[in-house]
Amino acid sequence: MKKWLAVFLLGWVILSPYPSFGVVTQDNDDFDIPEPAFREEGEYIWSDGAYLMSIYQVRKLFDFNWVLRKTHILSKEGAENINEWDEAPNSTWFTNRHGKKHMNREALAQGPGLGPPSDGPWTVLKGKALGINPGFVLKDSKGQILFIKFDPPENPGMGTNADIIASRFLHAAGYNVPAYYMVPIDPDLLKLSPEATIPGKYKVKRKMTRKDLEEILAKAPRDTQGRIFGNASVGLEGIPKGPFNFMGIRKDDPNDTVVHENRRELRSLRVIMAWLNNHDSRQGNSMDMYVEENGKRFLKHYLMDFSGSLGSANDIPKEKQQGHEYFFDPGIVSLSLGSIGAWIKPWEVKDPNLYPEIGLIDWETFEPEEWRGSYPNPAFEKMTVRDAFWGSKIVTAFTDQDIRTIVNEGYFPTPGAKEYLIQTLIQRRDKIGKIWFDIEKINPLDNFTFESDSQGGLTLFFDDIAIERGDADPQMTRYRYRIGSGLFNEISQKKIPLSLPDNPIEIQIQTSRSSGKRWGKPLFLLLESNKRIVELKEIRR
Amino acid sequence: MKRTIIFLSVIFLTGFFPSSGFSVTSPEESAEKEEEEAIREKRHFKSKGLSERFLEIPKYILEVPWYPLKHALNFSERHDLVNRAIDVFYFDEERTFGWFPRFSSSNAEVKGVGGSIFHHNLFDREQQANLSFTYGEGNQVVTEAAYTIPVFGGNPYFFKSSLRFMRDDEGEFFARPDPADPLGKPILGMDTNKDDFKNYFIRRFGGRVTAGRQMAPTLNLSTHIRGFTARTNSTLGPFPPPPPGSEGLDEEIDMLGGGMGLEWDRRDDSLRPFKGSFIEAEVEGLVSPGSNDAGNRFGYVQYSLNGQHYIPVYRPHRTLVFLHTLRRVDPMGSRGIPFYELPVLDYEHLLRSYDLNRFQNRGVMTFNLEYRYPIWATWDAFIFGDAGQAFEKYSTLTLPAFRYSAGGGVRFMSKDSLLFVFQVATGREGIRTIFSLGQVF
Repeated sequence: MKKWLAVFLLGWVILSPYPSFGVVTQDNDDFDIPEPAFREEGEYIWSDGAYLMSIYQVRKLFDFNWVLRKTHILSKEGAENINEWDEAPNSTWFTNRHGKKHMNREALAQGPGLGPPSDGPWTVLKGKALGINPGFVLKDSKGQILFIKFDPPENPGMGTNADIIASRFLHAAGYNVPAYYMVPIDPDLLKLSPEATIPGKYKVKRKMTRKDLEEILAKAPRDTQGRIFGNASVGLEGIPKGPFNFMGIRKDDPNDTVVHENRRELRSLRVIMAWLNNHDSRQGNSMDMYVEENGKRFLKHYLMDFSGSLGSANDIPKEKQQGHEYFFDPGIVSLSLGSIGAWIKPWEVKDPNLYPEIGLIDWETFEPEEWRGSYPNPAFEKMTVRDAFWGSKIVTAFTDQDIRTIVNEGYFPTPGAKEYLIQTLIQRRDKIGKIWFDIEKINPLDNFTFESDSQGGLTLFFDDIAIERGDADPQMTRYRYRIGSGLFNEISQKKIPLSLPDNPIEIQIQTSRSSGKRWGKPLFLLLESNKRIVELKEIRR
Repeated sequence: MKRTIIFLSVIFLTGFFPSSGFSVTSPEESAEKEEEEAIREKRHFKSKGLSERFLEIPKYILEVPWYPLKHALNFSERHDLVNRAIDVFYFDEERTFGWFPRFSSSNAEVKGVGGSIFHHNLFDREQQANLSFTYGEGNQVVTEAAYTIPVFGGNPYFFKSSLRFMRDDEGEFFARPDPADPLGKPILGMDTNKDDFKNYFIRRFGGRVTAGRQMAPTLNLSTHIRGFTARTNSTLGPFPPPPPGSEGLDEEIDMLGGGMGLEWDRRDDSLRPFKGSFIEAEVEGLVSPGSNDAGNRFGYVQYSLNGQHYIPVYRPHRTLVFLHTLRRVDPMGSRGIPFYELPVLDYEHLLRSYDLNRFQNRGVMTFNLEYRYPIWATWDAFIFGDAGQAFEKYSTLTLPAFRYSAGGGVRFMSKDSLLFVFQVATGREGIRTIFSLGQVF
């Protein structure tokens, strides 16, 4: 009997239709390549900022693609490294982590690193300029390279918190980032390498002296126990090859075949950076590393230096307009000029910064769609609703507890500061969900799965991300679908009964948040079946 | 030729330039390129096709001029050229002791070039010394020296001293002879028009020493002595000389005197006030001591009152500014007042659409209303209306005699200083664009 039952079950499984997932989930951009040259150009902020605030803006008018798109003759340019399901596959740029599978608390707290650096003695190899954000590069007792920088004395913990917290969120999201730690520094355990150098006057390199080191340490903040503490970022694996640009491709990297402004993970980074209020997302804060993995040598692309995140603007707290206006924003200036002061910019009346270790960040004036960095970023500018939806799925995947777990890694001596930051990030996240899961913009259905039944029927299941993340009311939500050009069927459950299609079929699904009174943007699924194999060929939003 | 260069530049910048076809490559390089192409072919994702790239070619036109500029900027950043350039003007690391060239525009009192040497932190006590020189058109020469000891380190006393030498072949004066006056006494002020422009030569050297005390954080009291020696002459230039009855013309006059001043500052911020008031009052008397040809024929009392009131409209930085000034000189008995010492009303003195020294008389009165509002982090725009009148006696002040200016502009500020002000003013005598490195309020 048992034998027959097993045979029956096996036959049922074999003969039942099953879904196929033949989409690219791993990009093949890690072919072995010759070692590229160091790209120095990306390190210069003046030309980058000047270009993106002026020439880049004007030259759009000479780009017929841009003109045709602005006049709606051509449709918006979608991201180019997406698979049939409108997802960016994992690549040398990005590995979908928390957005795909919930990471546990330990992993979230740990971030990209393997643990804090070893205790001293440490050998100082190089000094940073003595002015803004002083610091140095050192080697710890395990031979690990550490980049140490210090917070301004008035804001101990501010830049360190920004780096530690933002890097962990970005790592969990899927980006390649260095590990950041807050480390106590004992000056007696610092040994100056005889070859140590420091940029002197006019950035001319000279020998670093003990006095230079003492000057740097004299400006360093101290923790509640009176110890000097620094912000340490761990040196990355591989050979640095300079920053990557947020537009164009790197010509000496044959793996780089998608212009960066059309990369989904770079466009969607805008949503994540808006959430984290990182106004300093520019090419100077990125790095291509020439790495060797599995016997292949290729470029891996990193984001770095997040001390412009949260309420920090590197060496000072953020100013009110940061996150709302570019460094120089002709549009905002013209509007202000023309309104004769009648236009009160919401961020003008922000509450002052209450917590020195946080700086200035709020959620009340945060507008996810309008958020801006310090100057235009070509990838951010080209973000479409689909890109934003993809980024928002990642941001909203962080639960309240996840946020608390990561923020706990920071340093908050002022009572109430930590809780303020946690609540601010929660509220900012919710605003992102509300804006980018709006059915007037996109149909936020996702995670399509099939189940077959014994009669050869199929059921298509899906998730409503807006409901999952608490951004929509399930009681008021209805769905309707139609197959091909058939009639719409209204449903309240997140499942659609289907029969095994003989030919490719297109299913259109719409969502209503008003019990069926108004319907939002449609979503199209293309299904194909080959006898028993049902294939979700395409998701079109 | 130019077109060919531009075409080739665009082709090169757009990446359409098939470099291998135009250059000699070794077999190893060719193999490497083939390998790279093979990788590109195998990639899952590739960017847009040739047609779209073709459509975007025109945008690269702007890259051609940008290319050298970008390299210049990068070079500058790499070698810290800005700091090197700034340090050309300083003699010390702290950037308190240095020199600056001076360039005065056509709107300035002195139109020319020059330089100044300064120290802004002498003895580490914020004491300031300045020495400047300007040479301009019309054979103008201005040399100034000043030394200031500010309130510092709990010491409430302050001290200011200044010396000024000025020479100008083309001094401006608006006046015409009064036909009814047998001495040719000039008609001044609001009864003149633009055609009454006169030129004269003036050479003047003077100085002032002020000592004061900070009575309270908002209140300063001071006393000063002032003196000058001046020589004027009628000139034969393109414009006629002042009427012969102008007091002090073609004479050398020495004047010496002193006075008192008061400053009451209740503004919340001196750079970008939002609310509060600033009142400044001064009175002084000067006489000619009789040591030269002019004898003791000259003597006058001069007094001024300047009030600035900042009325908050909306925080932040939307402010209504109301300004009123009165400047007046009265002769001591039957003594005279040199015409170049008469109070002035012009674009530098709060009637912003009018020429330099446009109205002069025994007294001037102005009322200004300005609405300021923010347009950028540290920039404010403003719209304003000015009303002013130069008068001989208070009884001659009449409403129809007021002149008006209206306009707008932008105040460009850094976080801690006013950089410059650009404004456009219009009035009965035309439109004026003013670019200045400071403003009277």
